[in-house]
Amino acid sequence: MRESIWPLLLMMILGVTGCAPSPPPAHESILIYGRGQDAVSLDPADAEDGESVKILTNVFDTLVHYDENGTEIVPALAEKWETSADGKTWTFQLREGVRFHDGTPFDGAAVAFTFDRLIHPDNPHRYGAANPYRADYATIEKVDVTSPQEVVFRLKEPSGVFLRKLAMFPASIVSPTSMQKLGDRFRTEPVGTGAFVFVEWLSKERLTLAANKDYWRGKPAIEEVIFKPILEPAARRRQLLSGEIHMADELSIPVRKQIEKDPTLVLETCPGMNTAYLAMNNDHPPFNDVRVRQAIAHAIDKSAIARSAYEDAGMIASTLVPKAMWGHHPALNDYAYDPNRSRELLKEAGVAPGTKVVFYAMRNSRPYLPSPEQVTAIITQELKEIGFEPIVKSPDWASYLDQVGNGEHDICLMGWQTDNADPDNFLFALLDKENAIPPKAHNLSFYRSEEVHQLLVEAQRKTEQDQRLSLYERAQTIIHDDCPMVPLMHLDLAIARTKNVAGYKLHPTGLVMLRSARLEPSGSK
Amino acid sequence: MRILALALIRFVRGLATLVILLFLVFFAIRLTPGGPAVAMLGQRATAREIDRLNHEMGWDRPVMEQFVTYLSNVAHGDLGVAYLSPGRPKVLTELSRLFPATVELSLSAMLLAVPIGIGLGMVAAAYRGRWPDRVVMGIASAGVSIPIFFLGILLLLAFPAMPGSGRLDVRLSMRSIERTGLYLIDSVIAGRWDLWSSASRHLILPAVTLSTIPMAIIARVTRSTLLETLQADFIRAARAKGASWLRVFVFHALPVAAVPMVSLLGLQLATLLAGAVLTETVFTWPGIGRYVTLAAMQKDYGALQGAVLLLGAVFILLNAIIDLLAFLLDPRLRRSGPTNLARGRSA
Amino acid sequence: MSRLLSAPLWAGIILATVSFLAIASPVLPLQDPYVQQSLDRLMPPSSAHWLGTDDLGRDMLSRLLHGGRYSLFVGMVAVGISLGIGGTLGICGGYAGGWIDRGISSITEILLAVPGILIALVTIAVLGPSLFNVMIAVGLSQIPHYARQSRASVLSIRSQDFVLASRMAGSSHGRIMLYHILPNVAGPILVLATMGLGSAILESAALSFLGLSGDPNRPEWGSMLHLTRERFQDQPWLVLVPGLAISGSVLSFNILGDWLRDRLDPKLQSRG
Repeated sequence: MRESIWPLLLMMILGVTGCAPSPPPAHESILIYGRGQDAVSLDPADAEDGESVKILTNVFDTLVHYDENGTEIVPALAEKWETSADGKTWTFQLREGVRFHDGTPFDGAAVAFTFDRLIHPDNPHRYGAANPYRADYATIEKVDVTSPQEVVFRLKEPSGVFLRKLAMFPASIVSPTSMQKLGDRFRTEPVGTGAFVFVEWLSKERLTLAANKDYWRGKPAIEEVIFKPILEPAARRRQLLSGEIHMADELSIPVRKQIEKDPTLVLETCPGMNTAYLAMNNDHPPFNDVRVRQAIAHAIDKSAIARSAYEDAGMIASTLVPKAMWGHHPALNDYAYDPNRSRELLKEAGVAPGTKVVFYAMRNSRPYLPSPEQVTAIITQELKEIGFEPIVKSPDWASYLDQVGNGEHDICLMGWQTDNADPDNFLFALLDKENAIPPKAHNLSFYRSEEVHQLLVEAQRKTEQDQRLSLYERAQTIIHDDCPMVPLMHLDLAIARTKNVAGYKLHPTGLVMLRSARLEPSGSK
Repeated sequence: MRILALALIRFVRGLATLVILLFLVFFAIRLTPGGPAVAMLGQRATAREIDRLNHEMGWDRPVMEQFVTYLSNVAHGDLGVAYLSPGRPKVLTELSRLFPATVELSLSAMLLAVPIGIGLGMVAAAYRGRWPDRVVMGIASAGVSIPIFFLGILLLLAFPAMPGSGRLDVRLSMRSIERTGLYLIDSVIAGRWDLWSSASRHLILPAVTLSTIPMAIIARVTRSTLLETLQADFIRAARAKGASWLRVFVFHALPVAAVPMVSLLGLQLATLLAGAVLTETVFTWPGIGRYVTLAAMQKDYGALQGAVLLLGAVFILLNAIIDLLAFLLDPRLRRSGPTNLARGRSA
Repeated sequence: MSRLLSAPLWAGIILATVSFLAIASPVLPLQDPYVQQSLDRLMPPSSAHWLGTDDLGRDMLSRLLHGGRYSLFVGMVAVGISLGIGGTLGICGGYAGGWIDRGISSITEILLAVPGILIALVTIAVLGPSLFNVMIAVGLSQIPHYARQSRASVLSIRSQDFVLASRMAGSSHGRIMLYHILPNVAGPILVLATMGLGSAILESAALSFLGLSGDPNRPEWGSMLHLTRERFQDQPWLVLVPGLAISGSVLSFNILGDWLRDRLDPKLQSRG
């Protein structure tokens, strides 16, 4: 018995684990992109999440776009445009000869169709699109098609942000023919004019795009790209190493560090246009007192957060507008880490030691906050040191948004990743009094400065960037002094790739554009 | 006739159990704030858009009304839509795609656990009280004590060359040859050994991880059942007649001990099928366990309800089959122990 | 002599040590488990930090011992919940019989129709993630097992001669319950609770590992694993320390439970 069982057992164990690894087949024209989650919806008017946007950016085009290296607005499907004197009428000349992937021509009617879906809740071609971005386009009164190659946007009021909003993914031009043919199936079978043609999508399994041979900017360098959701960052690294995938993003901080150290892989990084911050609810005493808010600002050691939670993969934030973006106020004197000063301020404000603070902290990582739990641990500890007693609440993300939007927090962690590289997208969205109305407030500090509101609204209506810049700097100075929130960090964007991927460049907005990516022969590894 | 009546009763009770269970989940998940509309619209949505969506989806209706609607849809084979899943697929489609992954993982784990577990149990019984017995019992105790997620992490580190997630190499696809959804079987049918090799490499670590609990339990139960049987009179009689120890062991003790084993194995399988939540999480195995965890955490109503319905139904059905089998094999079994032992811990 | 070195003894010693260290951790000469030294993060074990430091620069030894208090306490409360509710239901049902028994058995059956971890997950989804809710979730998910076991024990005793005799002699239900039923079901339930403690610790560690126990500052073993699992390759001690602590305690409880069962349950003693 003894003799027969053990060899058998051993053989079984060795027999199964010893299977030879299958050699990777050589598909050198197919790029495999590993990411954390699958897309949710491929209808531009329906999508909200970053993973869907990665697909939309490659399948669709917008009227205008960012330049290759930065956030200057350049022509895309619109070749040129002009504005009326009052800034309320915008006329776009459309590019000729562009066709949708279904073969139908791109023209003014398609533009009008797209925007009509976006702004009118009762549009007959909405097909259940949730339209989370409708508010961003509410300024559009209507879109007139004056000729097949010319459209006129009529706005309710002049807007300095309008053009940038046209570069955002919800404004991707869809094929009206396919949309009407497919109805709500368009959400899973998108048709646009972009660099890649949608091929197939097996939910949570793979999403395949093929090169658009007739792309107006020129044919992409790779034949096909497969987007593969692989949940754990560590698993994505494992598959990069085994050569199963070529690129991977949404990497956690420890995994970034491991990849950085790995000689066979490349980690590309660039400063990100995002900000993580700690919002303080100005409606809840004692945070209605500016001294208490400043006390908190002095209590948080941002360099410890940068070191422990970001491992230096980011920049310390001194204002809400990211350093990498225009409109950032470079000369603000940030609140220094000084717990003694905090205690003094709290004493002045009459806050007793042991005061309870309801601290909402998400536990899912976000594009601006890769290690929320570590940041939470650091901040709770620092709050305790100045005499607060934090009560941490970490519900699921949907409940979290619901509850903080309702103002149930004293303080909460939050952040923002830019949609359009405009300061308005940070300052107005997150600190204007108009967005401080629960439920579903975005201004989670419930900061209602009239002065700031006037500046921000004025900046929205100006179209000259210099004038807008000085308005935004003035607003940031006031905000800094009122201290409604503590800006924490700007996370660096990062993408990992194997050595044979070339031609791909990280875009500072975080948009993933794969047209120029190519695969070198693996001999050059 | 009695067996038919018994089956009928079990069926009706099972159905009632399912409906009550579903109601509990249905009601509980709607008690909480958040909900799918907020999750669908995300960080940038306005309150008006959320209200609109809730209204369109009927999520603002009274819970009882929603429940009745849901039940009648289920009765018509419509499990609704998983609103937070990629592409908003039908729940039924999702479940029928994910369930085979769980089945494959569970069956493989059982395939490892049964022979090894029984073998270990036999060794322990044969060497009762001596060192092999102690070693086996030690392994068995450790098998139910090491957290499955810890074991999974250890295995991933120990075998850095093995794939750590998914069911298949990213570059391969089963799509053209998929029949049963069990990759190992489908690839054999199609004669695609490259796919078989990739699928089995992906399966090994999760299957080994998942097999530890049933293996340990099977080893223990085999040992104690054998020991009990070996003391029975007919075995003593056979021994007294001069039959060799091995002969008695294999031809007399084992068959008797096999009867309670059937229900033990069935229950183990049922437990594994009902969702190897932790194993599927550590190895990002695309099965029901992960699905239901995510659905519960994100409050994807449709997905959670559908998964609970499926898991509950499978669990109840398997239990019923086991009971009927046990009843057929040996009515005395209805009051005996293995069912309690068999309920291990979450896998 | 070899009996003295047997597994149950070791298990007992380990558990006694772990419990002692956990309870005494606040007064032991340890570093503060919450204090973060971001300059000393990810230090390997050394004379300054016997078990190294974690990603925020906290002393792992101190977190391990303080964590024992949380992990063991969570297990005990969870078992208390299951035992209190499940045991009571089972005993009442088993003793009373009739529709009460049928009602209780039906509830038990419904709960048994779902895997425990699913009950726990839904409970947390509803109540929100926190250590307190983890205890409730684990406790609730185990109720049916306790109810079933205690009912079975009561049933086997209720019909025995001495209980029937006592009933004939006119004893009240309360008296029979107190003097005959409870002492006789106490043994099996004690065994169940000891084993249950192991699985409750395991189950709550699993929920913490999934990131559901709230405050990430708290040195609870499961959440320590959750927060550092990606660092196993470079800083293995961060994963090994809490992982082995969970495994060791659960193993000890299981061995002790086995031993108790052999001792207390005469029917099973013959199985050796």
